[in-house]
This record gives sequence, structure tokens and C-alpha cells, in this order.
Amino acid sequence: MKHFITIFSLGMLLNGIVDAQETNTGVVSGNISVLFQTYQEDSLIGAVVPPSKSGFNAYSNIIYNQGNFTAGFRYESYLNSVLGFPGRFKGSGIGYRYARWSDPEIGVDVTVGNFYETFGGGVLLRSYEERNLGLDNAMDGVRLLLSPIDGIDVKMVYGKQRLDFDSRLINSDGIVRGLDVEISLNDIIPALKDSKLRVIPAYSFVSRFQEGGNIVKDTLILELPENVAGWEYGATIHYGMWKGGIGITKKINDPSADNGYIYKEGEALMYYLTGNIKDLTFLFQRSTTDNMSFRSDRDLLLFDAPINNIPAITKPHTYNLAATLYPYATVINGESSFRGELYYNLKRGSKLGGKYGTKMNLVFATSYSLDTTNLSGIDGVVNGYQRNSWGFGDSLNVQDISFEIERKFSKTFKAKAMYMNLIFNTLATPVTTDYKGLVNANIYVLETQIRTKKRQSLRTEFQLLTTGKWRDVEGQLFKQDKGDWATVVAEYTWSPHWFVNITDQYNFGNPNIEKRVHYLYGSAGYVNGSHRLSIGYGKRREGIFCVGGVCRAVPASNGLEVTFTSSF
Amino acid sequence: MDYYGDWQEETGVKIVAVSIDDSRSTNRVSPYIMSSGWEFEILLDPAGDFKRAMQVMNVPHTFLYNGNGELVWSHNNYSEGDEEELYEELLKLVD
Repeated sequence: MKHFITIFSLGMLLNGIVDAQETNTGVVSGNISVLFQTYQEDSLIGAVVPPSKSGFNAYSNIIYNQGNFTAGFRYESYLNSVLGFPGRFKGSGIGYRYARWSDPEIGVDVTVGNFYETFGGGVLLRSYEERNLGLDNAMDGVRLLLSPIDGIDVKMVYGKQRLDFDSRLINSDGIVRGLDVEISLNDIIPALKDSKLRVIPAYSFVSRFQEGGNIVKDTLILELPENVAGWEYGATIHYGMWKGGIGITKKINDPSADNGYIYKEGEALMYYLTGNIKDLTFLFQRSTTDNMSFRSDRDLLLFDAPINNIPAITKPHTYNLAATLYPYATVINGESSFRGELYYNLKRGSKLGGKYGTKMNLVFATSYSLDTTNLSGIDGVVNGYQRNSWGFGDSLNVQDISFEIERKFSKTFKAKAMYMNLIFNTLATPVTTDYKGLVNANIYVLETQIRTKKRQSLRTEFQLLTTGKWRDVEGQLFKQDKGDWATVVAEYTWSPHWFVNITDQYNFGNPNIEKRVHYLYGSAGYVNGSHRLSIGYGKRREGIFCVGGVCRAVPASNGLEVTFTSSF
Repeated sequence: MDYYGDWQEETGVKIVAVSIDDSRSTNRVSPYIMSSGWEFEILLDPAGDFKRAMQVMNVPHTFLYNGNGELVWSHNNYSEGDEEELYEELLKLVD
């Protein structure tokens, strides 16, 4: 249940909840988040102390709502920003503000100022926030959502995109314009109204304007395109519990820092199918993206001003060793990937399933380079390469296979076990500088939860990660990358208010004996209603911190961390 | 979630769960729910609009509304045993 907001209501629907917040005088709601961190030097793990000795990030969203009208803003503070955040985020001020008027009865919804929007799966346009990573590419302009008749949804956006924050919002250079239309055929064609087969075609168009100029490549002087357009045709099809989708995307020439300023067009093909055969449910997804990096400023890289988002094919792991040592991120210039997932439940009360049932799932995900041929001569300078098929290329980016089984044994005891086999190309996703090439890793996890007393429980995790070996020129064998790791987590909770947690991550198999370090971190906290306070102290290794497949490098740190979140 | 059937019978409560999985994992929600056999309504909030409107900071976040649509209880995070407090709050509403 980690990914859910749950609403319990008595005899009413969700619309009722939103309506209930609206009164004649209007309603103000808000939230606040504070993160404070102090630093101590630790040369062994590479932890440094920044000049300001401590880091402080805070933000608060305030929303005013009256009837169909909503207005809000977010106040942000980086004094100075916590290590691992974009260091150029500075000062305090308003980073997001908007006013919105929406009338569901006539199907009109207008926003001026900042907004987040996603078209379809986000391959063409996705503006969103991951506040924990400092990632925010909010749009700043106007959005119009129209639903002229039941079954037709039109979105229009026009604006700039957030790039930076220095006591105020700083937008990037380009202008982004987009249109998205989604049609539910069953709602507009009366004969299909009650059909089990539901078809929803969609079309999106996005264009960026940025002043051009010329670039010199080899002996050629090339003109930069000022207007870059992309479009997507997609469809979602439902049949009972089965669901499938397909999307074909194209983008015209967009020379950029990402693709080495080549003029090749971008293309993407994605499709998936999910359904069930008796108690076995499955998901298959295939995707090929070629040169689909799209930013509102062609000269920017990494997390700066992306217009779109190509999600990583791998499963978003939650266990520490599985999630943070070798997290896969989509190779932005192109990849061809596949994912298959199977879920099976042994029923409650059955012979194998036990009294409470047993859940199992198997996830296979892999990504390869594209099937391409490099071009030569002038064509090579201008277009770089050509793609031969939608299929897989020769170089493996990642292969991630995991099997998970979860069983509740009694009212007071449940357990979960996971095995994962990973082949990870650190040249495709550069998560480490210690090892270049394919890392082979096996990860074993056992999680248990024991209800010790009424409303008290102990949760533990035992995790082990082992890497393969490689031979140097003298024939000596070494463990790949940082070698083997073990993590132990113990967490005790007194529902509904208190928790303590201790985590030890131990790099016991590091080929460099000096680096066989325990990263010990303890935290305790208090939760009350919609407020949460947590205080932690300890060492954290240098690494990659990911939220939902988006990752940022975080330096090693040693010190105290206090977080407070609240909503009202 | 194991108690939903009993709670519904006793109190008439209705559960609506909103998944905040983004475009990377929205496709995984439906097979997960099918295999879990959850019998309540599941909605998707892939762009986080509803999450922002509800001022949710940490998930899971549970809201309890009475029959008039008024918020009577909310709790962020989940630890084993929290459902007992929720059940007590539910009983208060039907008494």
C-alpha cells in the first residue's frame, strides 16, 4: 500500500468530497515540508562539510478554493540547499503560483500561471515535480482543458518551463506549445455504449520555439531549427479486465547537446498488454525510443528543462540494495526494451496458500541499445546514424529479473522474500566510477513483520548483494565494482504515533579493504494525523537517490537530519 | 484490506483508493489489483493532481469522511495496527 492515498467514506462518492470543501466563504488548505541537515567530515566515506555547515530546504503550498475558483502558490527556501540538491537553488521566494477556474458542468477548466501537465504516457510532454530530488519542470503560462461533450477531452498548453530558483522562479529559454485530444468512442457512438470493448484513441502535438542561429560541424555551417515539433498517435483498448495500449511518436530534427547536435528525426514505438488467465495476471510491455530527448532549451542536459519523460523499463525497487546501488535510468538517446510481469496468488484457505493466502510475482525487464548503422561522410556529420529496425541492438544496458513471494502466516506474523538477478551496464547508466562494464549482481532479501503486542510491531529486513568477479591483466581475480554488501534494517512501531528505525549498510566485500565500511543510520519519529516529524543521525553512502525512476547523485554525508511535514 | 468485507457490513463504509503511480508504473496497477483481489474502487492519479489538491505529503495517506462529506479523521504513513484506530473512528460515526 505504499503507493496509495486511501479514502474511506460513508455512502458517498469522490465528487462529494471535493464538493464538501467548497463553501461560500472559501477554504484555505496547505502543507509544509522542512528538511534540515548538519554535516560532519568523514574522509573514509568522502563526506564533506559545506561552507554553511548545514543545509536547509523548506517549502509550503497554500491553496485557496471558493466554488469553481482556486488560486495557490508555493513558497520555497534553500538556505543553503541540502547536499545532493541542485546547488544553484538559492534563497527564499515564490516558486510556483497559479489561478484556476473550472466548471465541470460546462466542461471548461482554465489555469493561468504555473501548472503540471502530462500528455498520455509522457513521451511527448510531461511536466511534473519530484520535490525530494529538486526536480521540477512546471509550466508557466496558460492551460485550457475542454470537454465539449461527454467522451471528448481536449488539452491546450502554452508556456515556458521552470529551470531554476534564485529567490524566485527562473524559466528556461524556449516556449512550449501543446495540444492533446482524447476521444472515448464508446461515449460518442451510441451503438457502442454498452460494448465490452472500449476504444480510446488519442492524438498529441507539441512544439518548442527557441531562437536558433548557426553551428559549425566539421566543415559545414548548419542552421539550427527554431521550431521543433513532435506528435503522437495513440490508443487504449479495454476488453473486460484486459487492457492494451499503443503509441507511435515522431519528432522532427532537433540538434541538441544530448544527441551531439545531429539532425536525425526522433521516433518512438510503445505498446503493452495486461490481463489475466484465471488467477494468473500479466503485463507485457515493449518499447523502442530513438533520439527522443526533448527539452525547452536544446543546450541543456540531465535534469534541466525536459519537456518529455521516457520512463525506465525496470521495476521501481524499494529495498535499499536493489533500489540504490544499480538503479537503471532510460538511455535518453535511444534504447529498445521489454518488460514482462506475472502475478499469481495462492488463495486464502487453500492447501498451498495457507490461512491468509500467498502472493507471488515475477518481473523480467531488459533494455538493449538500438539496432543502428553509423553513417559516413556529410550524412554522418549531419544525421549521425540510421536505425535499421525497431528491434534490439548488440549492447545490453540492463537485465533485471526478480521473484517475490509474500505470505501472512498468522495474525501476528508475515514475511516476504525476494531474489533478484541483475546484469547492469555501468557504461550505459553511469552510476559508478569504480567499474566500467557489465556488473553481475545477485540480491537476496528477507523481510519479516511481527506484531509483538496490540498496536506494536517489529519489521526487519535482511538484504545481501553479491557481485561477480573480473580478472585483471595479471590474471588476478577481483570482485566487480564495490563488491558485496549487506543491509540490515530493524524498525519498531507503536501505532499510530511513534517509530524508530535503524539501518546498517555494510560494504563487507569491497576489494579495497579500507572501504569495508558500516554505514549506520538511525532515525526516530512521531506521526499524528497529517503531521510527521523525524530525526535521524548517521552515515549515508555516496550514491544514487531515486524517486519513481528519476535518479540524482547524492554525495556521502555524515550528520543529523530533521524532517517535518504537515498538511492542513 | 483484509477487513473490508466485515467493516462494510458493520458500518456501510466505502473505500476508494487512489494510486499515485506515475507513467512508469501505472500499467502495473491493474495487474497488481487483479491479483490482490481488492474489491474496492481504485482510481489513478498519474500526474499527482489529486495528491496536490488533497495536500498529501507522504503516502499512504488515509482520509475518513462522514456521510455529509465532512473530513473527520486523517492519518499519514502507515504502520501495522493503524487500521485499529481507523476502525474505532468508523464505529464512532455509526453509533
